[in-house]
Amino acid sequence: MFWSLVRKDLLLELRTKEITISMLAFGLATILIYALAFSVSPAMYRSFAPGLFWVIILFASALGLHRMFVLEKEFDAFSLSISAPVDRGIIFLAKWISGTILLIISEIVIIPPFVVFMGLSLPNNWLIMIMIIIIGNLGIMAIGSLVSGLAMRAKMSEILLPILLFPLVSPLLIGSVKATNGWFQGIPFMNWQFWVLLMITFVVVFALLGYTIFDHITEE
Amino acid sequence: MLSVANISKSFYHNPVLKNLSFRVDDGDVIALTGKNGVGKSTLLRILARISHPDGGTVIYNGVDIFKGQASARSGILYLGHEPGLYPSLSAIENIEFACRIHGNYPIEENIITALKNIGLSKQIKDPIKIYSKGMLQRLKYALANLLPWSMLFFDEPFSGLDIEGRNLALGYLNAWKANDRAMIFVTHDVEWGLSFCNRLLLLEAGSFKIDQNADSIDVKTIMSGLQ
Repeated sequence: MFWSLVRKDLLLELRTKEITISMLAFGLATILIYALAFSVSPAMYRSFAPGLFWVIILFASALGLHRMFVLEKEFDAFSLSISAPVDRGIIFLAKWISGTILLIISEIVIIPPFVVFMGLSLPNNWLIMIMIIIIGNLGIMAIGSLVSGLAMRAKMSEILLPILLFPLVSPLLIGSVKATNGWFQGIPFMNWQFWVLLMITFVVVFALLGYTIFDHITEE
Repeated sequence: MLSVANISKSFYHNPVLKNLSFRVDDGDVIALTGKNGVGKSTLLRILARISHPDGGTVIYNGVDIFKGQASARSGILYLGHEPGLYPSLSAIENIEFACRIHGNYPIEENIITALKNIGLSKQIKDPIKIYSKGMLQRLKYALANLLPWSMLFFDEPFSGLDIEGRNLALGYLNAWKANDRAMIFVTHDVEWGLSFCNRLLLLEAGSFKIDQNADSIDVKTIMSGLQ
């Protein structure tokens, strides 16, 4: 059942391309604006690149999440899933995982121009950064899927989503920026492992919370 | 089979449904009628667990659908007033997904046959957002025909259908009725409701004004209640 729901979300995106295009358009436009509008030294870019990267990812995720749940509202399609004999926690988990997959796909396109336009030279141990990105994405999408489920029935869901999402995601985002900065500056992992643990805690807490309460928040 | 007790629901402090209670047994075919905005669709959405009542219980096969596991609702199929399908997916993809989340895994050939039988042989691989209202309605019949439901909630079964579509739909409805499956239809077509269904519920001001066997009701009584 879980994979049928994930498959449906990915198939919908394959047909519409609305989620990835909105995330990519925002991400690439922001990178270009920052790269062209500010004439700062490479050292300066290096100091604010981790923060800038995660802010771009957060805003792009908010756009993608909104589109993801708008697709469920059209034709009242969401009633098909929630009236079916499927645990709504599973529906949340499927939304969370498919959202994370789409975010990772967008990042694969966003990261190379980010590195090039910001003139960044990256450390070699890439696996750690991939791990940080995946945990950060899982966290943003866990909180985002929960908040989107809550906001989707509201009349002004596009406004309600960022209002609820940004404060909730702040500690996770701070952790992501600190961990990325630690990797970027070549600081030993021991010195910034706290932030990775904080991120993992957020992922686990919001995944469990979403699984538990998605049933109640999606009812009319 | 389905026991509804003291269901109530309000919107913005306006009570729409007031302590409604009724029972649906195997083979019951019920027409639920009433004026616009009286809460017919809301009641159907509560029975399908899309909407949550302010109070009351809905017991299906001995399990409270609001407290029991989701699997307890196996056998219930809800077809709402809206298409309830994904506009960007094709008819085949929509039906396949709908069947999967209802625990069925039909092969594509069977889906295509079901679509052909309801007169949807063309554009079955195009996104359904290009479909007319009648075609979307036919799609619901194709879906219902592929699933082994035992309790159907259908909001406006003939909405948007042309004469050919209506006749095809009647064929399906008669077949389902002959199989002793329970069905609740929200309808404004009182004459059809009285002729096809074996029971009629007239909803007015949050309560059932009429809950009787269809053959003991005069059409004029219903029509006067709807005016």
